[in-house]
Amino acid sequence: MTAPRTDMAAPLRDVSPAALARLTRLAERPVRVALMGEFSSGKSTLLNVLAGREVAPTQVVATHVPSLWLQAGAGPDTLLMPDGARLPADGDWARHPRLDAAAAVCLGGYAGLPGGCEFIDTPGISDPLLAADALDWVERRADIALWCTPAPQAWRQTEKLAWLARTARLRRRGILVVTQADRLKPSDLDRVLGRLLDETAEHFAEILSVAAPLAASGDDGWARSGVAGLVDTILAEASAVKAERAALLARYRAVEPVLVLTSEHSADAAAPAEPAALPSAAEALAIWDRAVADTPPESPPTLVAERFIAALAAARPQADPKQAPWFALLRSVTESEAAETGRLLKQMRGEIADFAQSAWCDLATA
Amino acid sequence: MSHNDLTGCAETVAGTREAAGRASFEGLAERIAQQRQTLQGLADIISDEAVAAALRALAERTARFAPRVSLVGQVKAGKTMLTNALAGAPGLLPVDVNPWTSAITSLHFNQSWRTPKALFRFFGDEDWQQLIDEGGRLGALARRADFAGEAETVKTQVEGLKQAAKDRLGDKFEALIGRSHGFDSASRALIQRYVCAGQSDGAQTPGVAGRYSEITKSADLVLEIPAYAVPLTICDTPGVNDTFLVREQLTLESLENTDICVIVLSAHQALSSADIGLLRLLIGLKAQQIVLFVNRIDELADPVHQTREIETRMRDTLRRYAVAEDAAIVFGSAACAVAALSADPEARAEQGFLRLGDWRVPNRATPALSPEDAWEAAGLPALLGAIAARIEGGPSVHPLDAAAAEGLDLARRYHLTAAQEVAVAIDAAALADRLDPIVATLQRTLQTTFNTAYRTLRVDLERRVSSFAAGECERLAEAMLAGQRQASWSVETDELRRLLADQYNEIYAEARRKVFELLDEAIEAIEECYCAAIGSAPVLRRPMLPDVPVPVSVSGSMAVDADMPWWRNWLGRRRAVEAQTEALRQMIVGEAVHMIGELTERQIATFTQQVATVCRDFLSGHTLTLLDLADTQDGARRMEMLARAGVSAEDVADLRLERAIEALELLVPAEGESRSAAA
Repeated sequence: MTAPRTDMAAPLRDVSPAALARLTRLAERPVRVALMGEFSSGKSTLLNVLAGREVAPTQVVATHVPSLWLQAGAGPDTLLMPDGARLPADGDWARHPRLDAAAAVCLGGYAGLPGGCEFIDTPGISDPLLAADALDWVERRADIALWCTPAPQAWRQTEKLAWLARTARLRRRGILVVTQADRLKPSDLDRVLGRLLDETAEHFAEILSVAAPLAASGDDGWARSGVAGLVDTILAEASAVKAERAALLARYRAVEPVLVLTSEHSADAAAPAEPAALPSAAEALAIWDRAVADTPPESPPTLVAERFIAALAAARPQADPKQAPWFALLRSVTESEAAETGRLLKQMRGEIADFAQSAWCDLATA
Repeated sequence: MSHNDLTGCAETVAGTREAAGRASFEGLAERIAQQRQTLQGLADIISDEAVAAALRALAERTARFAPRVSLVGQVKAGKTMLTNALAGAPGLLPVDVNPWTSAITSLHFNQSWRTPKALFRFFGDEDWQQLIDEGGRLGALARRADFAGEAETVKTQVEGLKQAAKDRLGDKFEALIGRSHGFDSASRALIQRYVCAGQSDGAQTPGVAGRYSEITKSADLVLEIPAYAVPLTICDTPGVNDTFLVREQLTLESLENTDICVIVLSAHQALSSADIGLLRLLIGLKAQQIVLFVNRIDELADPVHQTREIETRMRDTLRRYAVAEDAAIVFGSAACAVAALSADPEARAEQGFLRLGDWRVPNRATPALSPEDAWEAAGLPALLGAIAARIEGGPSVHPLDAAAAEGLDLARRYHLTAAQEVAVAIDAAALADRLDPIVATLQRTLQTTFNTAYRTLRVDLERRVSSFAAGECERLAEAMLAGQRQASWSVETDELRRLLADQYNEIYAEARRKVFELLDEAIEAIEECYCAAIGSAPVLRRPMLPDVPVPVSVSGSMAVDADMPWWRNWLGRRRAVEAQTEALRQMIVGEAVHMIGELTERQIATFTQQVATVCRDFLSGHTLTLLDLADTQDGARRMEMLARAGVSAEDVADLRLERAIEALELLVPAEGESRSAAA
């Protein structure tokens, strides 16, 4: 898989200074690493080792807490609800009355994690007592994924299906972490890793094994346990994410706005929340192309945008198009000064298309 | 090598297994021994050669009663290691860190009549062709879901297998297809050649491990394990939730004839959604046939508390999903059981095993675990106990009950001819005239009953499927219109399975009741014949009818199952609501046609045949007895018969006969009903 193309010859994309400031802020945000896998696959144990302290209780039976998000900011701890609301949860978040409904618990004060990254521990999949869709929420917010699979029962069909259902964007930065490596003899571990290499090399950027309990043992425990290698890999992926974001950001230029989109849809510039039932980027592109084709050639781009938004609304009466991650960008394009209709339309289409494939798409979600 | 090599490794602790096995299967062994002796004893005192031969055959059938226990579960849950532990032979079947069990391996304990002692069957041309053309049933499913890609994956896997086998076996490959290899004895090396996947170790030299692994479909090994006291078959199956899809198919196919199904789970992840999926697939089995074995508890830091937590959680989950709610849950460790069988005390010194010892054998003599302690700590006695209880108390003993009932009927008939004073002169020809229509009527009405049941079943099942499909299409349409996230929508296939299984069981139960009525009518007519012949009517009992076959075909995977690899993609396809729901309807109906076909064509045919045979044997037996009565009015001739049988005094023989009849009456469940029908 290749990184999104940033064609240097392509003209700069004009956006308002406010929009550029927002994009810049998003581009400089800490890289996020999600821990995923079946329940009891060693995610929480691994997180504790990476954080250097007990963050999450490790248990035999699956955890009932929402995703745990270790954030770089100072805090305070909050519950992040599916609608984007944040409830203060300082003190004992585990006893918060709304815990069951929360999408994530955000814990502050984790600025010193490897690579300055933020880590998100997900509830395990395949737990028959938990809803299956936690990964959908997390994957839109993560840049890198660690898929944890326990060495003695590594890589089963349920894991394969769940991983292949993740977006191509996330899988490009996926690391298969074979946990509980200490439960196998070294020779057996090699044979398991051999099989995994055969079966999964095409699905992951990297495959490595970790024996978390060894990390704290002796002077060379960190290296021997495989944690050191994992941290290096995370650092390398995080650098790649940052480079990619910088390249994407470099395509934009701030210009003072002259055009103002009059559509009522533009009135509300609130931060987009859960993009629940919106069409895929591919579908949105098809609708966009239809809107372009149906609009007379000399019309202003704002008309195309309005028709596009109206068509989107018709296709998804239940959904709010303003929640589409690219809506804010689309709006900022129409606000900018630009003489050439054709170029503007192309840029707007480009924004929609980008969201299908690049890490950029998550920038619009808080 | 003699086949004793297989069990020899465990001889050092034979006492352990001896005690465990005996305690668990004692009840069953006693029942078998008693029934066998009674039937054999009867045969010895009966002068009529035909009756005696029939009784001896029943005695043999009793002695050869071998319940079948299948171990199923996810890949690497420890099924093979548990199989080895149950066989008392740690290295019997190869255990590997990567999944490899592709063949169904059956260990037949204490079944000396079976030959050869080791039999390996290879995939036949038909098997291969079906696997390659369609990617097997899974490929067919993928095609029905219009996902050629998945079918390709299975096909690629199968072709890879076939190619590996061809490369290794060369010219011999074609010659082996569809054949089997039998041996008078088996050794571990031999077993490894057939059922061990050796590919990951690189270069192969001919004749070593894994030589035939790709083409071996099943392995049958005969072992003498006196500890079990009864004949028993343990069946190791390939794991489910395997990325290698072909193996899973073989497992489901093997469950049709199983008496007990032990689902092996890992304590680290007891009851994952994949396990729930497996339990749903087993909906056709009765809950009392299922035992959940939570393996690997030696890897828990605090087994006492953690097992309690795990059990609570498992019960919650089973209740929530309404599957196997009454199934037994047994905690144990195959690794610890294998250590119990080791001659090396060091093997039992592992921390995890000692923790289990402290929990289960707190008052043991020494801190170290003796083989007996380790066996107990491993939970094997508990597992064997659960298996034995479920065999004895469940439908599995039906063949034993049926043999006892048949023996009883034979004995009673003989008793009549041998001991009854004949009061009325009988004309054999007139009697035959009376009997013939009874037989003819029963045959005819049986046929009608089954034809009706067949038609009703077909129509009812089809109606249920189409109303189910309509309901699901409506649900999908609603979900699509509401703009719901479709990714999590799925067809309630277990609901469909339950519907079909319920309907099937209901109609079969109805057919059974009808057959009982018809039999009762025939019995009444026969009793009248007896009255006419000998002046009094003996109390005749209905013969045991076979159990309704378990509707295993509803257990198969369906193209619309949510865990099918293509399902999310299928849902994600952009179609208009009407097109999408119509496609869904066609898929559901298409899948159900296959199941209905299996239920009605194959399963009903088997059952009809069995019932007809039982009824025919019952009637013809009494017909012969009555005709014999007509022939043996001559008292002198009767004495002569008794003398020929070596019975010195008539009354002694009668006494023994009566006692045998009483003994058999105790063995046959009341009212000719089977245990399962009452359960």
